[in-house]
Amino acid sequence: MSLFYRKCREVTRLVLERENRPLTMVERIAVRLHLSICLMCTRFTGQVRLMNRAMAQWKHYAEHDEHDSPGS
Amino acid sequence: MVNDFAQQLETLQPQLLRFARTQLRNEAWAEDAVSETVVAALEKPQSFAGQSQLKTWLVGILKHKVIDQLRRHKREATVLTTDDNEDLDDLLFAPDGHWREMPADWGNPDDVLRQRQFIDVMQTCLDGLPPTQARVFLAREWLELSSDEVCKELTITTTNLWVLLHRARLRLRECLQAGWFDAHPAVPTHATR
Repeated sequence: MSLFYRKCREVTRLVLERENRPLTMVERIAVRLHLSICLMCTRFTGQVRLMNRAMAQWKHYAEHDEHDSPGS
Repeated sequence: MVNDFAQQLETLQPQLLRFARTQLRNEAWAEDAVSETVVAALEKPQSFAGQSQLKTWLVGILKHKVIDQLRRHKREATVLTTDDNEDLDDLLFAPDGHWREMPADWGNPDDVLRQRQFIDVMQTCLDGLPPTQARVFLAREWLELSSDEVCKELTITTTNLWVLLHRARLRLRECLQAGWFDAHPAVPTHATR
C-alpha cells in the first residue's frame, strides 16, 4: 500500500506538477488510484483542466483580433 | 500607406501594453517592450506581408521583446514578495493532508468558457497574481517557454520554478472561485456525489 498511497495534499501537488514535467510511473499509478476513490481530488483535477482551457482561450483573445472588451 | 500602417500600430498599442503589463508587472519594462515592438514593426513593415492579422504579427514581436526585458531585469524580476512566498496549501489542507473543504464543482467547461466575462475575470485574476509568480506562470503559459528555458532566462532553479508555478495555479484557482464560481455555481447534472 505505501508505495502507491498518497494523501490529497500530495495528489493535488502531483496533479499540478504534471503540467510541468512527466510524472514517474509510480506517481501516475498513485494519482490514478487516488482519483478513483476521491471525489475531492477529482473535482480539483476538473478545475485544473478548466483553468488550462481558460488560459488557452485567454491567449487567443490576447493574440488575435477580437471586438475588444471595454473593461479595464 | 505608411501613415496608415503607423496609425494602425498606434491603435493596437494599448492592447500590447496591457499584455506586456500582465506578463512583466512593471510599468517601465512593459513600456520599453512595447516601444521596441513598435520600432521593430516600423523598421520592417515589409515583413508584415498581410499573411496574418496585424495584431497577431505584432504580438509575435512583442513576445520576443518581453523575453528581452525579462532577461535584462532577471534579478529584479525574480525577487519574491511576501505574497509570492505565501503558501495556500496550509489553508486548503488540514495537517493530516486531507482537504479542509470540498472543492466546488465548476461544471461543464464548455458552458463556462463560452462566456466572454469569464475571460475578463481570468484577466483580472492574472493581474492579481503576486508579481514573480505571474512572471514565471505567464512565461510558461503565454510566452510558451519550456521549464528549462524559464529557469535559464531567469536564472532560477527548477525547484523554485515548480514552487512558484504551484502557488500561482492555486492562487488562480482561489481567485476564479471567488471572482466567478461563487456567483455562478454549476448546475448539477449527473451524479457527482
